[in-house]
Order: sequence, then C-alpha cells, then structure tokens
Amino acid sequence: MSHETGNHTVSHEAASHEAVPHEDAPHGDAPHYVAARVQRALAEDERTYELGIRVDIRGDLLFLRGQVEGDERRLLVAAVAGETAPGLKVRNEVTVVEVRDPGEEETL
Amino acid sequence: MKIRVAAVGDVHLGEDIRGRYRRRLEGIEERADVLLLAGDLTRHGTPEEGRIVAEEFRDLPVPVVAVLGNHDYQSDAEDEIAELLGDAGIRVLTDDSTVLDFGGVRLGVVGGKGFGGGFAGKCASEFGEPQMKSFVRHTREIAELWHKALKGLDTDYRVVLSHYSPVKDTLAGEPLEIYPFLGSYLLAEAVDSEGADLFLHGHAHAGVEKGVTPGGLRVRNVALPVLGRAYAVYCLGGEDPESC
Ligand SMILES: [Fe+2]
Ligand SMILES: [Fe+2]
Repeated sequence: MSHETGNHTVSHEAASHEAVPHEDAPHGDAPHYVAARVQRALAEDERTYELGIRVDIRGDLLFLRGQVEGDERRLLVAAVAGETAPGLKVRNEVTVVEVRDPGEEETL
Repeated sequence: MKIRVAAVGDVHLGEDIRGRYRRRLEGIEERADVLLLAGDLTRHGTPEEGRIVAEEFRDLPVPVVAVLGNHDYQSDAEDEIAELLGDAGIRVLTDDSTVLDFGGVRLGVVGGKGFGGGFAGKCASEFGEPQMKSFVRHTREIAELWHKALKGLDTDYRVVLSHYSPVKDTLAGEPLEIYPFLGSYLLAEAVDSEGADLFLHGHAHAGVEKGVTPGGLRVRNVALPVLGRAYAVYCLGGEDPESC
C-alpha cells in the first residue's frame, strides 16, 4: 500500500502518523519534556526570568502556577509559555504577590 | 537594650514596578531601627534595575544593609549594582560585616549572597569534575569568610544576612529535588560554631518563614512572596521586660 511521489515512496503508515499525534508522536514531544522545556524557557527567557513557576500539562491544557511581582510579568509568563508550547491552551493560574502592611513584629 | 530589625528579600524590582515599593516603606522608622535586604533585589541584574533599587531604598530614615542574590548576578553587573547601592547609602555586604550603633547598643551584621550545595547527608561534595568541585568550593569559601567575620564581631547583637538558606526548615513547600540549589548546611555550620542571634535569608519563594539551625539559631525566610507583607520586623532583646 504505497504510492510514488517523485523519488519518494510514502507508506500509508507514515502518512497517517501526523493524524494520530498521541500514539505515535516522537518521544521528545512527550508532555513531560514539553513541560520541562516551558519551565526552562520561563527561567532563561529574558522577558520572564521566573524560576519558581510550576508547569503542568494535562491533555492539550498547559497549567501555570506560582507568584510574580506584577500584572505585566503575569502576562509575559503566559506569552513565553504559549510560544514554547504552541498548540497547547495556556491556563494562567499565576497570581501577583499580594503585599500587606508590615503588621506585628516578632520578639526573639 | 532592644533592636528592631526589619527585613525583606526578593523584591525583584524592575521598570514595570518602579516606585511601588517605596510607598510601603513609609513610617518604617516607627516600626524598626534598621532595614536588611536579603538579595534578589532585581530581576535581570542589570545596572538599570540596580538604579531602580537604589532609588527605592535611598534616604530612608533608618539605615539599610543589603546582600545581593542570584538574580542580581544574571547580567554580570553585580559589582556595578553594589556600587550604585553604595552610592545611595546602602551598605552592601560581600562576605564581610558592618556594625551599626543605636544609642550605645551595637548591632553587627555579617553576610553575603551565600550559595547552594544541599543539606547534611544529602549534599554535593568537592569531588570529581572541576565543575562540581568549584560549585561546592564556592559555598565552602563563603562559609569560611562568614565564620571569620563573625569571630571578629564583638557587638551586643549579631545577625547573619544571606540570600541562600542555611537550613531545610524554611524551604518547606519547595520541591525536594531543588533543595541543593536553595541553600547549604555549610552556611549554618559556620554560623553555629560562632553563634548569632538571627539568620535571615530569601531565595525560596515557595518556602515558609520560620526555621532553626541545628545549633538552635533562629532562621527566618524573608522572601517577599513568603512574607506577603512589605517587610517582617524582628525584635532582638525580647527577654528584656523593658523592650519590644
Ligand atoms: Fe528571588
Ligand atoms: Fe534567588
């Protein structure tokens, strides 16, 4: 079951490969590695430099959790994650650090 | 005979949040005698961000002592940042000490960035590849310098100011796998052998505030996300009924 395209012979198995990404995707794209890649991008991309963001992938959803210091940084985290893992829907659960008044002192 | 120490780390200032921290420092002189900054003052570690930090913490009614954190090293401009802060009247510790006098009560502050390596029994050692050796050596040399600085410090109170943690206690909430990058027991060991009143650190954003070294020294993680408040205040000399 194959057909000729110029000099290339394309089998049906290979052609159907793209249509079933989950079963046959190269192991380098396992969610585990994608999450690791996103986490590294968040730490090393100069737009973010965020080291403490937790990245979890469930199906086609990419969850981001952690805290940043401002609204703009929260949006940048989602942008960098989205660029690093195109095709996944980003669920940005990162929050902005809430800073209250100094409050009670502790006596040592 | 009391001294009130205000402390915060990991403010990670940058252009986008310029001026926001300054407001939170209003009235600090009523709450504290000194402000200690536990590193990661910037996000990118650029001189531009260093200038923002200097503006934010300059000319306060209380003295300010700081150490740098790993983020402040990211752009290889740590010396320039330290100089900018110094020009703004902020004393930046680089594995040395400073003494502050509050009406005859003297506070010694020792410290620097610190570094990682892990905790007793589960840590890296100076063995094998040169990269591994230099990683652990960096922490060991820092610990030795702090030990020496503490030894030479004859003050009423002694506080150690670091970015990295000396204990696991204050890391609870961080993934176990990254503990070796969050601190080293060598920092605790060096301080325990000389004694001090308080060990302050930051860096572990997902950790907890309170811990103690094996020698019984109180440890406080003052990373801003941990505190959730502008700064913490610790009153040294609390046993004195006249104080705090
Ligand atoms: Fe930090
Ligand atoms: Fe840090």
